[in-house]
Amino acid sequence: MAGGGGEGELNLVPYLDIMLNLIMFLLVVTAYIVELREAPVLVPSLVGEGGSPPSDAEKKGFLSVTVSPRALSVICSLDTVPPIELLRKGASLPYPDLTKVLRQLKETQNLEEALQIVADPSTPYSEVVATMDAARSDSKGDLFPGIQLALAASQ
Amino acid sequence: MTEQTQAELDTISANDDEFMIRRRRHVDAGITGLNLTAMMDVMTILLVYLIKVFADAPQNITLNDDLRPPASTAPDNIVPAVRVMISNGAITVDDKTVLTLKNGEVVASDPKNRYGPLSGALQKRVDDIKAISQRTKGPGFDGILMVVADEDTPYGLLADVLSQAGRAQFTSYRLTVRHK
Repeated sequence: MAGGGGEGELNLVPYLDIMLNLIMFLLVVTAYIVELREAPVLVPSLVGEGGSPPSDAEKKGFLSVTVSPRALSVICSLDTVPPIELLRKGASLPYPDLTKVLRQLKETQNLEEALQIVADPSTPYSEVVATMDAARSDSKGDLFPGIQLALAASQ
Repeated sequence: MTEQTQAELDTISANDDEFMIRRRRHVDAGITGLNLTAMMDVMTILLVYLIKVFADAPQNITLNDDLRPPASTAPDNIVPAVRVMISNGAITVDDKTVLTLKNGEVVASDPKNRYGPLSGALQKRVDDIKAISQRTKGPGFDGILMVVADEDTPYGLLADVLSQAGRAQFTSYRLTVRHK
């Protein structure tokens, strides 16, 4: 980058033009880049962490949300919570209703922080992600941030 | 008298013109003294910085009609990891095509071992990372897999890919989504 005077000096103006164009191009392209994020999912654990099994009094319930073409179903491992089915409304599944149900269950039941999403193999990936969003959090805060994915065994 | 006055006036005018030309040259000499080298340095640094940022960005993923991740409210930023991309036409591992897809199903010459190439590519990637880590005494294999899938991908296919990744010792899956 040596500069300096003199009549035999390299003409920097064309280089400056090229650089300016390149910088403007890169800055404009930046505006059109899609912002990407990540949604971590947990691997279902088949074996316990060890130690003695919890007693019935301290046993926490585990929620499972099933995604099918017809409805969203919420199933809890606790006997006191009956299965809840949320039928599809029009083109999309009732994700806001699912969020309300999960919030109500979280506030009234003793539940694990993790939640399992079971989906039909033909379910579009976008519906699984939308279900994860509905289960992760709502306006009041976190719901079930730990999400496990599982495949519907009956299919 | 008139001719003499006219001659004097011409002389004065010629002197003024010469003076103005000299003055303009003097001023111009000041303007041409602008140093472009500093500007060139700034531009070069900016350019190198932008190119470096673009090249190193982990989210440097080319999206198109065949690969459009679903929109989500997931808050996590992208972390660098081994990347599996499931588009409408192919499955790639770190930008190398390992399987071809048609209508959401794997096109394989050996139906009994449909996911063999994917499993092999993932295992090779894990072995490479471990070997490099041993040689450079780096942090080692962290077991993180970045999954970039099209929003219309059947969940069954995604689950199969995650299953193959689990067999290749990947323990943490991160689904890449578009920020809503």
